[in-house]
Amino acid sequence: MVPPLKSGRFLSRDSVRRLEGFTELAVDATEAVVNATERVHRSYARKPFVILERIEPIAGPVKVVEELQVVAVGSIFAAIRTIAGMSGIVVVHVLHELERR
Amino acid sequence: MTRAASERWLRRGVNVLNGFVGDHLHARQNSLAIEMAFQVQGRPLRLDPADLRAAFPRATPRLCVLVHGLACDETVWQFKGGVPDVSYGSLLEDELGYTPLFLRYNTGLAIERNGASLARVMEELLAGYPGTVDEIVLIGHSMGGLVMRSACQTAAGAGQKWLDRVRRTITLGAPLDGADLARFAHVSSALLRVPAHPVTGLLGDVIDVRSRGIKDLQLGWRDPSLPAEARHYEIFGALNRSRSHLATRLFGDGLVRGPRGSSGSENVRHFPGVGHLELASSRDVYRQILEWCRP
Repeated sequence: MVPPLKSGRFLSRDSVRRLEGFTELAVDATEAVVNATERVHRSYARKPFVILERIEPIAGPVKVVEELQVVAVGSIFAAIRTIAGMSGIVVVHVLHELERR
Repeated sequence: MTRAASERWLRRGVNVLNGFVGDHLHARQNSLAIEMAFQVQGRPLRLDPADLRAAFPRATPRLCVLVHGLACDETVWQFKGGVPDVSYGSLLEDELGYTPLFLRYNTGLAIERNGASLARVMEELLAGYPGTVDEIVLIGHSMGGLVMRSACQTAAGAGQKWLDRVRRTITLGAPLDGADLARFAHVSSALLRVPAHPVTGLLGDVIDVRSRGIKDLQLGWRDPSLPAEARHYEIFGALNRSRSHLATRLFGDGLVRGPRGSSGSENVRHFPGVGHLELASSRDVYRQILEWCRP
């Protein structure tokens, strides 16, 4: 249980604003790191497909597998971004609720 | 850890964040972004006449404006290990009757942008200040020196009145010719992109996260249109007692190297053995400032 302040509030307005700022910055940082990791991941993951696509008999199926892989990896990174963003919204909402009380 | 100590560390953390990603915080309207304002007892000062009268009941016609450097705030001016709240500002108030004003600002924003904001804030201050202002002394530490010079340039271009009252500008360890560390970061980031490799490119991206304010430090601010009727002084520190020592020649005061071949100028002083941060709260430096500020 969070102890209330002398004013009767759980958190002061200044504290809430700061925590809100830290939360938003953490979400921005997470998004930036996820984007950078995704860029590096895609660039490495592409390398074996580039080689395999040169072998004519399997070039077609390789292209399909690569596209599936791109969709799967993209979905994972998108999910991380969505979860981070939603977590930020929930934390800010909880902070505002604590300030209101 | 006491509440005051944790508050102090939190404030330092926010200052550092503003220094390194302050432009991002400002662009995202993040509540951690610092708004430029003069500070009185840790609170931003509103520049309307009533608030200014309440904040400065003994307002004098001589103002001394202190502008801190990168990732700092007004507490950088406080002398260490002595009586609390003693600074160049408070000493100039006691000894020469200056009214000290301590600025706090987002050091991650472009220097030109902070300069324009400072020029506007100074004009508002003059409009609401209780009594007349005959003289203004600007003291800027590190990046603050560049912001202060940029403000003078903006004010000259806009014909602002406060610039006519500036009698002295004093920069302390300001990278007027650019900071080597900022140049190193710029070159490193460019070199890391040369191989077109995803990992080195990623490292280049990480270095490029640094704020616009830090990027601007590589350029310095040597030739603005400074007020001709004012005197302009420069103070530089040095890591070693000897100015010819290799450490001093390579690293200056640890972050900023002083200009070469300016030893003879009476408006430039070097303080051997005084590090970059120490320039903002050194008894020796204060004695020099006092000498320059005496009528």
